Amino acid sequence: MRLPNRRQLLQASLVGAGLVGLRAMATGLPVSFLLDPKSARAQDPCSAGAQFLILSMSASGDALNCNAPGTYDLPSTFAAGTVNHSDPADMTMTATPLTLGGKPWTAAKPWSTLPQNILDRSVFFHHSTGTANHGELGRVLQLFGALRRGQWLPSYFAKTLRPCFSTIQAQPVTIGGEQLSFEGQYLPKLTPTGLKAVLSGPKDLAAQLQTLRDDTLNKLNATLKQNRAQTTAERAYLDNMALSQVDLRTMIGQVAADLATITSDDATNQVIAAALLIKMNVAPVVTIHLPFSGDNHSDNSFNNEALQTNASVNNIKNLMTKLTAYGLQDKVTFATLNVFGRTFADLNGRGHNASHAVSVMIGKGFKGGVVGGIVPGGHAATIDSATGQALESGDVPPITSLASVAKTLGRGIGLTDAQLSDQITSGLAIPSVLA
Amino acid sequence: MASTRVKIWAASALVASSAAIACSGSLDALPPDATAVAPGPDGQVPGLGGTTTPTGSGVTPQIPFEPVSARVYVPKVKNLMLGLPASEDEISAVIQDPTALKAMVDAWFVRPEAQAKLGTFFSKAFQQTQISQNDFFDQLSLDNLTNLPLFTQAQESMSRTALKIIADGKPFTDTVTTHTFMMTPTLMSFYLALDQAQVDDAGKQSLSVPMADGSLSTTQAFWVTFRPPVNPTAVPMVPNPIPLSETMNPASPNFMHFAAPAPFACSMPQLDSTGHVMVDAAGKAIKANVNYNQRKYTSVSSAFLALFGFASRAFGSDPADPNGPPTITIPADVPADKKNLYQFYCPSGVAFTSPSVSAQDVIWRPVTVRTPRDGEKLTPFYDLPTLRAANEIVVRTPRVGYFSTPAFFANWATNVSNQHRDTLNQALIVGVGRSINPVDKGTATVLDDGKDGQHSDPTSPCYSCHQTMDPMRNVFRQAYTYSYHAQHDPAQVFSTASFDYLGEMTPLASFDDFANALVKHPLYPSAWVQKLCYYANSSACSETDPEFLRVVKAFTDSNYDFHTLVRELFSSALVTGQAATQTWSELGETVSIARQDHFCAALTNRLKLTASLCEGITDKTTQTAVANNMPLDGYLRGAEAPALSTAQTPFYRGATESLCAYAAGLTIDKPQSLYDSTKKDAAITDFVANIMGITSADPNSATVTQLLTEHFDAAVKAGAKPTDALKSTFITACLSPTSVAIGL
Repeated sequence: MRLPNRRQLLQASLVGAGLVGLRAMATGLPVSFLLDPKSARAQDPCSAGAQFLILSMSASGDALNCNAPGTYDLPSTFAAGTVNHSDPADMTMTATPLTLGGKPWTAAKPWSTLPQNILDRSVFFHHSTGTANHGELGRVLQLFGALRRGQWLPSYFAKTLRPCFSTIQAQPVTIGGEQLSFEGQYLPKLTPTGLKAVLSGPKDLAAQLQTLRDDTLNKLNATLKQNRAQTTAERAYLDNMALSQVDLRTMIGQVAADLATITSDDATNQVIAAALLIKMNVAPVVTIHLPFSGDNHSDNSFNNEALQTNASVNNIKNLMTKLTAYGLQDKVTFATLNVFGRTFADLNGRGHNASHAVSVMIGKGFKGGVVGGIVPGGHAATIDSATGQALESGDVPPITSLASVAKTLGRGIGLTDAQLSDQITSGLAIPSVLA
Repeated sequence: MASTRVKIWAASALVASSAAIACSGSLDALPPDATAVAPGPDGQVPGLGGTTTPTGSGVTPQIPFEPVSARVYVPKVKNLMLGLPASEDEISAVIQDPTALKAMVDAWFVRPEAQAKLGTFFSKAFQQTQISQNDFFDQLSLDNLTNLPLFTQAQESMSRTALKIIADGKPFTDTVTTHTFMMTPTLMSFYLALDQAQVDDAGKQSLSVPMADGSLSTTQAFWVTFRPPVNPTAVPMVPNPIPLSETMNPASPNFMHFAAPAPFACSMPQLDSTGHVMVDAAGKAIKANVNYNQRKYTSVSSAFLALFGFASRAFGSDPADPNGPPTITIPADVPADKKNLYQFYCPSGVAFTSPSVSAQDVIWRPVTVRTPRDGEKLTPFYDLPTLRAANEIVVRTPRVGYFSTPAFFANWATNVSNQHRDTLNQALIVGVGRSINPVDKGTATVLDDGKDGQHSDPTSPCYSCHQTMDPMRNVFRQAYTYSYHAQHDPAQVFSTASFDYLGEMTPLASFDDFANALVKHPLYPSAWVQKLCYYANSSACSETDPEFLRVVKAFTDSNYDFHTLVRELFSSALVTGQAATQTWSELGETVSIARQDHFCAALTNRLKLTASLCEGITDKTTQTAVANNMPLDGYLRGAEAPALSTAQTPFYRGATESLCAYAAGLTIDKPQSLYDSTKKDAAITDFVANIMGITSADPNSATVTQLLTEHFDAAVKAGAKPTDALKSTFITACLSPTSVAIGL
């Protein structure tokens, strides 16, 4: 039997099933809701404590994995000198005990400085991305095909979460310099100072003139839509244009005072901007870039790694403080997902590690803990999904651990197992670290 | 959000039918523009050797095709090519006879505005931009560089080369195989300097500078020297810089002393007669500026930059040189906790206007870069008089086509782990439009074990890509070190390389072989048609579309004449949308925002500005708003599709408003500006026709003119002066849908 192609399926869906595709376009309601409103409601992510997501991504492949809990206190099967942490003479990265989920762990000192109430909702997920190529952050975010239809994870989360928050846009906002794609289109890479530049509104007469212009532009839009636009795409463009003007004015009204605190495009200011964007309800997902070493092939005594790790953990603290000030501490999850981790065995710089990385997840949806770990050679261990522990006979092998990160993060931000399993074809969520 | 009709439908429909069309979950994930290269019914990806059945065959009901009107597509094509509005005569002619567009495209192609826009396109398509001066770090071994014109020239060279090849009627394949590049004497000197500086794979630096007798010096030192005026008290002062002739003359005491126009300075602690530091009441060292006349360098890169106006921070300390930087000897009796009082500060990099450089050094012309014949002398990098008259330079490092320019290398730095794999992959993306991927693997089994031994493990996810990449990237390893200097390691120079990609196999003994493999590859012509499709539509064309294949054939049959390609594609329904195509069926119509390159060119050309509006923004807020929120056409590491944002966002809306306000300030009621508020009706008429591109015969013209006039009147009524009212009216026209869109 000849299988229908994608186009034929699409056409059948649009015009065959009671024009449900067209109705979805017209109403803005998901097709799933129109097809089965009751079922769709049952899968509503909003009922399960949906969270905004601030995701730190790095195509540099950072050494976050080399100084995280789960890489200290290793058994004797690890030969001496094969796991080297950053530990410069100034003691800023010295191995320090901390408590996660009521259990003692050891990590580089900066992690121990997170307040206990933050550690109580912090997960360190050891996994493998399966690539050592900087250019494959996009493929990592696509879970190497485990996320259906080439979706990128932040975009999938954003699209799914948008109905919960009625954000201005469904697309994630990227302000950390890494590239993101949403439904086949690359998103613009924004910066904190760039946001500040466009969100600072005029005053007095200039503000009056701006209002007049907005009004004239609305009339121009309406005229052109009626008399010039002859295709659906042209009319949709005009509608979206009018919408973007409304959104811009709404945002400007909300953030004038907070914008003044943005001074540059560094990680500290990215954190401020990300919190602001959530406060403004711009998008369900905002991506930033907190560095934990960068591409440190050469890094004498891991000094740079130490500096960046300290700075980034401080920025996580700053973010949590900001979110608390906005009353968003229970509504926003922070996470990291990098293209790969770095190798353990070197001393003055690190190579690319395709087989081990660590993702940090902090939010109301999580209980503190460590998932997985490392095995000799610096690779990610197989994980027992029931306990989250590294276990040779576990059911989450390294090859599906990236998908498990995605599913666990998805659960933590309020998506259901059914929703996630429908879109992510491998991996298992780790319930032991879910609140 | 971009208005991509079928994509919107696809998104909603696919939700309902996701189970039936789930991805495989393998490494062969769909690329970002997934809909652009979606698998056909047999699962093959178009253009990768599989066969696909044309879609829309009538088996299922068709989505009705909506033709784009000539009033929309003629302005779209002219704006894409020239950044100018279409005239009523042009639109009418195409309405009468749609084939008339082809002749118009032909005529537009040779206009200077079109050449400028094509130049911008080529600089991105050949991946020569998106860099800063510090990205030349590997090649120059110097960081903290100043923004010398050289760095802009390096980014322009390849696009100018492509334009020259087209203008000369040569096949476009020459952009891959050529040894002749458009260069300035400055760039020629740069190529020579990169050849005469040596950095091996381990990062060890040395030099190999030709001397007058033909020998190569490995020890030559260089200085940047300020020679004081003959009469220091003369008013006005008469400069006395070292002439280049003395710099180049081995018999001169100023040999290899490059002229500086002013002395250097250090902030030094003042010492008393015993050599101890003098302190103020707070116990801090009293400091004063101390001038000195020259810096000494040991690297070719520093000397080269000094020749063109930058004394880098990599200067050495030579206490024996009375003209060198000052030094301080800390007396033996100074206690340890006071030694910091003796610290002094000399600025690191110093930019200056080089007395050695002339206007001739920025004149472009074709220059052939070739390797030396037996016994042939090399030209030293500093011999500007020779370079100003030369049409070739002789270097030991091969330079062939787009993939070995310093700007391409600045984009794609490599290292001991990467080993030129990204260089190779980006060269493939430009040349044949495909990135290395795990599915289209080569047949080689020769894999190096590199730094990351996991690559050579056949069970590794990395293996299949490396199977393809490693034999090919050896062609770069043979020629270049990791810092893109000449490779002298025999193990690399004599390593084996082969091209083995998507069915094409050939041994590689040189860059010329690699270039020929690229242009002979079946995907070469379609790669360039596709790049232009992206440029025109902000989305891909279907590579199995018969109309796409017709354009590919026309390009190939014309012996790769780029003018023919532009004529055939820009007058095609693939771009105009006036007739149904397979591309429309599969991908729909995209109406995109006018990204920065297009919007800036349009405003510059429509306002008859003599320099690019966006490159000359003096207002910091506008500059930041535009730079950060108005997306550029771009490219990404590893990505086959260009990075083209099409979405309208509040941020884009804000940035365009800033830019339009800035443009209004330049063009209204300024001396010799285009618009005069005392002639507001004429100005508004021009806003409608020129800025918005709505001709006087357009059915919307009267209404739009009326709306703008009402806006002007309302602004005056609100208290605005006529100048400000007209500026606000201009901003409105500038922000109008037809001004900020491509394809509306």
